Order: sequence, then structure tokens, then C-alpha cells
Amino acid sequence: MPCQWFSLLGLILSCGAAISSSSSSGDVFTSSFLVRFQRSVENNFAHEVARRYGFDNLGPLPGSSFKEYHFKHRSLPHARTRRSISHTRVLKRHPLIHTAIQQPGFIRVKRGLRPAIPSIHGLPYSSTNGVQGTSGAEPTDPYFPLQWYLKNTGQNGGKMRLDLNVQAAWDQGITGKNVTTAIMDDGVDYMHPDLKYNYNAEASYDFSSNDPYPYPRYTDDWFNSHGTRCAGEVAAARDNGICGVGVAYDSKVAGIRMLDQPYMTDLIEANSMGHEPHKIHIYSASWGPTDDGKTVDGPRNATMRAIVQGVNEGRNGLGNIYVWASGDGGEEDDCNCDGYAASMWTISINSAINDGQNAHYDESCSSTLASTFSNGAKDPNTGVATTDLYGKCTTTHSGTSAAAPEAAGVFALALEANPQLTWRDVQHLTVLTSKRNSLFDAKNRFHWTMNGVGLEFNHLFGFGVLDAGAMVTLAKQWRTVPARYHCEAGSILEPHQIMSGRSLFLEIKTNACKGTDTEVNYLEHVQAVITANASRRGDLELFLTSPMGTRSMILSRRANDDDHRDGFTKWPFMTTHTWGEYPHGTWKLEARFNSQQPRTGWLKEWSLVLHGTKEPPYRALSPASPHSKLAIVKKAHEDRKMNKDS
Amino acid sequence: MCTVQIEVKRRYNMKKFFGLFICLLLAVGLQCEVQAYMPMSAKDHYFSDILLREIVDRMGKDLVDSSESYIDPMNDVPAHLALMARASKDLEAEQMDYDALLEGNPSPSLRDQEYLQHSSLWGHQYVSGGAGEGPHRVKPQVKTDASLPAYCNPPNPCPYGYTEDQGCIIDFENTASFSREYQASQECMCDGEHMFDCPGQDTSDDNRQMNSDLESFLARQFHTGEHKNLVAKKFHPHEDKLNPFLQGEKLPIAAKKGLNVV
Repeated sequence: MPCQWFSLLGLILSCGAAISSSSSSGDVFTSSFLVRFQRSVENNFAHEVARRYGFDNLGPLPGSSFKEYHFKHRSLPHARTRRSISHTRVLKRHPLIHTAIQQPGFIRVKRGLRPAIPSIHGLPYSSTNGVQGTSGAEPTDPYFPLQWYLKNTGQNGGKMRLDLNVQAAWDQGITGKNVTTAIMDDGVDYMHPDLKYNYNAEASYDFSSNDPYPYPRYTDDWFNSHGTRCAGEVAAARDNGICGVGVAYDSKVAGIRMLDQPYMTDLIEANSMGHEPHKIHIYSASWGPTDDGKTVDGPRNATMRAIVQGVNEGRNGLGNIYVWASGDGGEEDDCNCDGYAASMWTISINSAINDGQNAHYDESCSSTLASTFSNGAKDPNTGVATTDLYGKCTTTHSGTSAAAPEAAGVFALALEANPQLTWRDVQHLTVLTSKRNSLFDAKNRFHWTMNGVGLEFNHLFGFGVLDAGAMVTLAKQWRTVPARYHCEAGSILEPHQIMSGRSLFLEIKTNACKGTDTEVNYLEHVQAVITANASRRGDLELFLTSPMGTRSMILSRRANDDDHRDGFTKWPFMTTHTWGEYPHGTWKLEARFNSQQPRTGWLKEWSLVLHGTKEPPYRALSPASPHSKLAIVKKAHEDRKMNKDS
Repeated sequence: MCTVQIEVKRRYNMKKFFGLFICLLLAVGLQCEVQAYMPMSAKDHYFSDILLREIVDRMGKDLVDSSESYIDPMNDVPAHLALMARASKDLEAEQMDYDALLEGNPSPSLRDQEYLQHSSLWGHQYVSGGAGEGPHRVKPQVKTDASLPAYCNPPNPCPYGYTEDQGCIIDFENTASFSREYQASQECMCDGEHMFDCPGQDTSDDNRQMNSDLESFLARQFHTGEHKNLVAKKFHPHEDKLNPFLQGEKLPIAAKKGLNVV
């Protein structure tokens, strides 16, 4: 009898294992501690406390006004599955320490498709001597002809002129001068001859080995080439005969090495995103929670706070620009389940390939603001040509990873054209100057749709592909948009059952906080904060329809997400599709199952949060052409105002 | 198998053991149905999770005080951040002992893998589950913290305009081999996922011929664990004599059953 019991126990435990796979458990604790003092203390004092208890103080957290510090224990293992109460307790014994929290480690992945063959054979660069470029001339760098995303002449079957239109920006003398983009990644080969002189050493840091030099760690497969490749897209030097040219070739890149360790912690992420916020203008991130189509994760507390502080106070109050790769999860994932990409404070960028299709790995969601270019994966040479580790060049950089730095480069150009742009100005400029061009959904699922004020959007591409020339032109005459308000427009707190075969519709009627301090009349971001669960989370779909009739798919089916336990808890689903719209009226939420199998679920809570301006945002601007997006939106705003006033 | 069971009895208070067992039965039984048809593609992922936890648990285990319990949740996060950030219920929930067993500890197949080398450590973990139950914990193993499992540090060449006074290297060659050699001189964890050959590893190792999913996965994990302190090393028999985990008292334990049991 006991024997049978024993094998039964085995069976049960195997089920237990299956459960753990689908839940978010499996915490691993690192040797990092967040230490919160009762009051602000000086760094030296924190050093002293840390030393006394066997810790190293790695410095204060951004945004904590010297109350919170990052301690690392000297002898605790790098990672373990249990919290160490004794180490926590020893810290808390100190009278000035309020709390000490051991940091859990979690997984963050780089957003590049991994090539089938490790690309250890970067092509050697030719040493032809460059000729100094003049306005209107093309760069002479040997890889420039391969950089179809900068100038598409139909290389490799691409579509002519489907590119970032950077020449138009360069011709205006705008090349990214005095702008620094930080590549938050696995390090940057700052000794690369094409990056060497465009490297901003004083804004760089290595959080993985805790020193100021983020040079990448060697591995046999050259895996840590990601950051170097991203850096080259932004700021590879022009006309030096080496590799290609960056989008903003006179701008600087800083390296923030933070992705290359067995685990990620909240503190490393937070410190990275808050690193030198006045020296760094743009942060580019090509990584995020695992794109396995079943993860729902995002920035933890310290990181979220660092982003908020960056946006509020960075760049001496203008706000840092955070550029995010939307993800490589393909159609089975939804980047609204990635709290980084879905955040209002990050500009999430998707990618298109050289003929205008979406890339097959593209992860789409309603929070995507715009797109840039990456490879089509079939022919490796349609990849993104850029710098590679150890002074080499590559033509095969790929994934939405490759897309985010291109966007960062375009924003660097915009910031040179107008250094006074705020983080919101950059988002407005992105909306107004991105182009539909010839982007299309290869599978014909998502069409270009006009929102309530005449802005075309697509679920895959946001407002379209970035146009550096147009953005720089508009940036030059830009007037900062009016103040932004946040309106809690309403909420539904009673649980409603969602059943198979029938959509659940909920409505919130709102006056968008009219007559209060937080009145919103012209939308920027809209968040639907939702608590829901389902017998299979991946089969749940959510749609949000604005009073002007714009329907955003805020959650798509995720075939691999078999969660039946966690659901979503106060998860902020964000849409950008209703940009510029007038929020007064009835918002509709539709929840339904997309599955042949019977499913059930509950929508427990829905709060609608509107973000935008009280005043018309573009009143001070005069559009260059009556057909420009600016002209169309401006007219829509004026017409509405007239109707309302009359 | 029955012998094994008897040994389990010897080690553990029967009442506790069965109490725990009932908990498991109740907690898990309900969920079995749903999980039974988990897609094969997910297999690797959860092996990965479990193994990772297992390995990490072993790394840190000897540091755990017998008086240790679980700590305070982060309870003073501003409400508006909580709203924006991810739902934190899982993160903060106090872990109960049997939760730990359910969610992180080995399934039978893993236990059997452990058996290939030496079963005691793994087996103990498996059966006890409530290793955190204060006095029932086995005596902590002794291990040095001299070298922590972390990846090697890359070289720090001086950026343009910097000098050696600033803590960087002037005498630097920007090549793969320079970095490789620089890192090879460090005592650090070999990154089995991205290194073809970890230093000190026998290249003719028959790990290379592993073909089943699980085997190759294990191999990957255990290369990662090439670090001296890692239990995973026991998968490299030629190094057994160096492995502190192989020294000391062997625990008479259930996992001895081996592969042919389940």
C-alpha cells in the first residue's frame, strides 16, 4: 500500500509542476536589497551602514530623494529561491532603516530574432577613405547602400522610398548634434572605430559589473552584440569608410549595460532608466518580459517610479524619451501584456519589413505609437546593416530590437531641431508626422482606419512609419502642447460574467471631468484598467470603443496563454488610437472569447482613465500644407469647438 | 521502492508526512484536470523554471538559518503606483511551506534525473518539501562564499579621451580573443548557454550526444552550473572529487528509486 501511495504522490507532484509553469511563481531572490531609510541620508552614511552589515552600497535610487538605496550583499549567492530573513533582519535592526526588501530576480529577454547560425562572421569593413559629406550628398560609408531603412532604392526586392526619409532631415543640417541616446542593453563596443568618437562615456554605466565601462562580455557565440548593433543604428559615424551610418550620425550614444546577468532585478532596471537623466536625452530599450505569448508582466515598483521621474524631471524638466521595442512575440502575443511597451511614458515601436509588410515576429497592440524597419527574416541580407562587436559590421541585425534604435535616432534628430521639445511633444510629433506610406498587414487582418479626428491608424503599425524629414521640419516650428490632465472618467466595479459565444458589453458614460481641475477635452492616451479572469486567459479578447466610434483591440487572443488562475489584476490596457479625439460621451468595452471550446470568465472591474489636454493642443501651430495630418486634426478641433460654442 | 518508503518513515515524522501529503492531494487534485493537456511546447519552459529554482535553491540552501522564515511583503507602495504596475498579489503573497513544494520543487522525472549522479540532495528536497519547517531541516551544508555564481566581468577598455587613472585599460585590443583571454583568467560562472566550451570542461564529454529534449536541456542547465559551488556539477563525473556536495554524509533517501520507477 505505501508503495502505491508513493507513486501517487509522484503523479500529484507532476501536476504541481504543471501548475507552477503557468503561474507567475518561481521567484528567485538575488543578493540585491532595496533599503529604505526613515529619512533622507547621505550616500556616505549609507555606505557606512552597508559596510557595517557586510553589504556594498550601490547608491541611491532615482526618485527616492536619498531615502532609498540599493545594497548588495557581499556573500549571499547571486540568486536563491528563498528570501533571506536573517539578512533582512540584520538590516532592519538599524534604527534609521525603515524597510529592507530583498529583490526577486526575473527574466528579461532581448528582442532580436536569434539567427539560426550564430552570426559570428561579421564582415570586415573596407578601408576606403571617406569624403566629407556635403548637404544633399549621400554618405560614402561602405555599408550605406545596404542600409535600405535609411534609403530604400529597392534593394533586395524592397519598395522604393519606403524608408525613414532621413536624407530630408540631414539636408536641413540636422544630424543629432548634442543629443545623447542611451542604449540599455548588453553593453556597447565603444572601441568600435565607427562608434568611438560618438560615444558619451560620462553618461555610460555598467550595472552588470558595477563600473563605468559598459564594454560587452565575451561569449563564444557573440551573443552580447545586441547593444553594439543598436548603438550603430543610432550613431555610427558618417563618411569614415567604416560600416554604415547612423540615423543621427552626429549624436552621441551612451551604453548602459544591464541585460547581461543571470537575473534581472527591479533595482537594476530602475537604476538604468534613471541613470544620468539630464545627460541622457533618449533611452532605447530593445528588451522586455519574455515574448512567449503567455507572460503578463511589466515594470516593478522602483522601475515604474524611475520612469515616472524620468518623464517628469529628466532633461531638466522636459522629460526623458523612452523608446521601447514592442516585442517579438508574433501574432500570438499582445504587447499590451508587456507593461513596458504598454506604458504611456514609453514610445512603443513596431517594425515593418522592406516591402511594407509587417514582420512575421511583430507583436501588435493598441499602445504601439509608430513603426520603423527591421528584417524580413527570409533573406538574411534584408536585415539591418549596422556595427557589430569587436569592430566588425553586420547586415543581419533583426527583430523589433532593430526597430527601436532607429526610432531613437529619429527622435535625436527632432531634439536637435528643437531642444525644447518635451516628452509629450515628441509623442505628438510622432503621431502627426508618421506616414501610412505603403505599410500593410500581410495577412489582411488589420486595416488602416481613420479615427474621430482624421488620423489614420493601424493596429499593427500605430500611426505609421516614422518620417525623419517631416518630423524635423515640424519640430522646428513646434510650440509646446498645453498642460496635460488625467481624468478618472468612471468605473464599473460589479463583476460581470463573460460567456462563450456571446460578447459582454459594458458602457461608461463620461463628461471627461468637465468643470473640474482635470478636465480633458483632447485625448492623448486612454487606459482601461481591468481586473478579469477566464478559464483560459489567452482566449479572452477585449475591445474599447470611443464615443467617436474608434474601436481599439486592447487585448487580442494569445493562443499560448493557458492561465486560468491569475487573470489580469488592475492591468492598464492602453490605446493610442483615439489620439486627438474628444472624450465626452459613452465608452464601450466589449469582452468576448475567441475559442471553439466553451470558456467562462469574469470581468470584475473596469476603470477608464483619460489623459490629454483641456486646450486644443495644436492651436499655436500653422500647418505647411492643408493636406498634412496637422491641418486635418487642427481643423477637426476647430470645427468641434465652433459647434460647441454655437 | 518499499525500502525507500521505510527510509522515509525513518527520517520523518509520519504524521507530518501524511498531513503534508493530504494537503498536496487537496491542493493539486483540483488542478490536475486542467493541466493534463499542456502543450508540448510548454515543456521546456517549465522544466526550465523548475530546474532553475531547484539549482538556485541548492546554491543558497546552506546559507539558510534554521531559524529562517519568510519576510515582510512590500507593504507601503504608493497606491497609484500599485495601480499602474502589475498586479502584485503573487509577488507579495507569503509563501507557505507546501506552496513552495507545490510550485517549485521537483516532479518525479526530475528527481529521477538527479538520481543519475547522486540522489541524496535532490531526493531530500523532494520528499521533505517543508524543508522550511524549522527544526525538521537537515543540518546545513558547509560551503564557501568565496566565489559567487556570476558571469565573468568583461574588460574595461578606456573610452576615447580616458586615461588609466580612471580605472580602465589602455593596453587593449578590440578583438574577441582579447576579451576571451581576459575573462578566462577570472573565477566566475561559465555561461553554458553561450559558451561552446566552458573552461575545465572535458570537450569529449558525451553531453554533446544528448538528443532528447530533456537531456539536452539538463545539459544546458548544468553547463551553466559549471561554477564550483553549483550542485549541477555533479553531472560531470570526472570532477566529482572537487565537488563539496559529494562529501559528507549521504542521506538515505527516496530518490534512489531511479528511472525505471515511474
